[in-house]
Amino acid sequence: MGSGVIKKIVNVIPEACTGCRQCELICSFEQGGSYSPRLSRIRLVKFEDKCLSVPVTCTYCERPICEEVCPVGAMTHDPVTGAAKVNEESCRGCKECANACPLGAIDMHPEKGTAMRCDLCGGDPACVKYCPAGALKYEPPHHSVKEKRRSRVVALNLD
Amino acid sequence: MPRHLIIGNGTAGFSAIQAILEYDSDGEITVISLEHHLPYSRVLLTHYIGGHVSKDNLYMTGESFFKQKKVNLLLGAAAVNIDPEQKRVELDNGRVLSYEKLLVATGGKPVIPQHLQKESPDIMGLRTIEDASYIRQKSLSGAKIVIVGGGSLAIELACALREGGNFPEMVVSSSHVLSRVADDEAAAVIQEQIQSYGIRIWTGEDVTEVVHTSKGVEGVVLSGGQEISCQVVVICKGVQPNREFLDRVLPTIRGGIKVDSNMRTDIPDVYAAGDVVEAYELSRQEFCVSAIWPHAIAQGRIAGMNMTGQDVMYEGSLSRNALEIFGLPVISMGITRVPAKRDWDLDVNQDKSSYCKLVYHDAKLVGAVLVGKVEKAGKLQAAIRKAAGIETVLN
Amino acid sequence: MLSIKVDTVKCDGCSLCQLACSFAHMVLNTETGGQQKFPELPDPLLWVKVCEGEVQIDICRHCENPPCADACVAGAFKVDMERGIVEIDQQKCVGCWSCVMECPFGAIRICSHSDKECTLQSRAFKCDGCSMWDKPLCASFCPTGAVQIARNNNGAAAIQRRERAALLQKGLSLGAARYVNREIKHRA
Repeated sequence: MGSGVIKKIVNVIPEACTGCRQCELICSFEQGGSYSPRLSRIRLVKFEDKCLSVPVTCTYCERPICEEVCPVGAMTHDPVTGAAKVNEESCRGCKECANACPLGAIDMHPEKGTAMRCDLCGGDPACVKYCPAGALKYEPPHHSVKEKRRSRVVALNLD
Repeated sequence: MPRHLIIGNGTAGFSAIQAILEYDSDGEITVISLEHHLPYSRVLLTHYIGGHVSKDNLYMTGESFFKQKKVNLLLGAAAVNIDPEQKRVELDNGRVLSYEKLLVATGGKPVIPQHLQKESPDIMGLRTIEDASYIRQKSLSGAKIVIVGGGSLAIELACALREGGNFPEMVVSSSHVLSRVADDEAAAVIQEQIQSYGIRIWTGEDVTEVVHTSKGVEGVVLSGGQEISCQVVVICKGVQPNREFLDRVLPTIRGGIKVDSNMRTDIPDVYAAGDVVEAYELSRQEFCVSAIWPHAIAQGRIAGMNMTGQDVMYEGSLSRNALEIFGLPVISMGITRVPAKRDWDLDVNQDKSSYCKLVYHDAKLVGAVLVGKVEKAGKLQAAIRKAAGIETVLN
Repeated sequence: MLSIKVDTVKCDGCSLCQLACSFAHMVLNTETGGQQKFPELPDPLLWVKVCEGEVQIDICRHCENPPCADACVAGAFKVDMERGIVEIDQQKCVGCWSCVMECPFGAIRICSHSDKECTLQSRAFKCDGCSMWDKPLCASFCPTGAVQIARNNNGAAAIQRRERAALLQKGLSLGAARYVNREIKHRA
């Protein structure tokens, strides 16, 4: 928090997502050693009626509510790199963080019962590397905002 | 050759077995137990004396567990020496066992002051099933029992005896009971509750002598000169780590075995857990022996996991205790006795039936004593842990 | 997995959940044909406390690795993986208060004895997950949604994820999608 370093996060570009679930699979493999979307830290939400899918993952809040509500202090992040960490030994699986996260970015591990939160794979997120559609970008948050601003101006100019 | 050798069959040892099996279902575990019993819950012993728990329910697991999981259990054997070079442990029956990873979870034994150490079964501590059975049997036969000490075990034992219909007397050397935990006000509430049930407490007194004849114990003489006639003397003056067999390889002057945050000792591939170790204490921020159940469980588990090759850190223990005195709960945690210095702050709330003291240091919650109303104890513990945790992260 | 979401911001402190809890356990615990026509309400298994304008709801979260079970000296706690709940075996509990000391949610209480004969024994009690009901009654009766309970995997997290995705998708239809549509129009 407030370390002055501009941290990179996984930005989601929903319009580019093809819904292939590649990110879920590679994430579960990186984090849990098996291909199972249930173990993934990034989750795909499908809107079948609109033929749309949107990946949702941790956006690295500046004041993480998951860390605030954790009764045992198992949710931490590195003050320098910003990478999040769940201490699986102290995590009691009370699901407070999963319930408190407004994004639904925290899931519980189906076997261990501990919280699962994106740790950006230590600075090289596999989901971004393997996304075939380019719907995920590992960049500082303001980049995507810049993109949006740009597209908006382009849209206005065409009028 | 067993890959995992565990000396000690108590809470920490059993917790370690479970952790090892979780990560290595074929862990090849051998457990050396001094007592001729399957692992049992020592904390329940007073409840057993009080008649609330049957002997069968003291055990944490059945024999089938060891058979099923192929854990080799050596009952009635003690380790006398270890050879870290050859990775071998010598037993008192002459057997020699080698190991890949060793866990020392030998626990503690009751402290019995020098002048009270006598060859008599009626001067005893309370630590094992045998002790408890003996006290229970004596209590049921109507023997007068004197409890020396005023800690939580002494109080629990007194309550248990009273519940079994016996009226023991307590001899406490401090000015009040629970002197390490409670202050005068809290102790007054607690003492009143104990005395209202007909248990006599002698405060500020010590047992100077046990009157001991050929018929057995006949009474004790207090430092004030009074004599109490009794048949059994139970000494509850705390426990000391059981670590003599390690003296040759790990010499220390006093205290428990030093361990790092992975529960490793200074000897390679030797781990330690439970009442025998000095682990990091969160509120005091120092290494000390803290012989309570939750720590033994946690430390045993961490040691077991690390023995299977995981890398798990022990976050540190927070000394705490809960006991009930005839329906009056008392919970204490963290630092409760405060040195008279400026940066300490107290928040005391007292009414007729309850007492609550919160201790702050540098505006951080570091300890609490609750008597009567204790519902928020868990929340306070979480707050103490969080306050301590934040500092360790910053350091 | 039982997912219990407590949002004290939404809570009005009406304590209806507490009453519903007592009620839920009264109906099933009462033996029919007894002499009492209106049996006494049993103690609730969750507690609402209003203190200086702040509301506290003390209810068990049914942790997956519960600290109360680790602390229990009598082995009375059991985690029922199938139903996702943490249970107390009343036969084994000795009322030692260890679990009360460990629970960071203050969700365990002890019904304590205080008789001079010392015949009764203290026992711990807490939320049992309402497994005999279709839905936990506290959540069903909560008028403000301060207590939400889902029996499926990650109940609240999944809902929140969907809301978040819907928002992202809304942003898409307002900004970028319009741009895309117009581009197509111009080309035509």
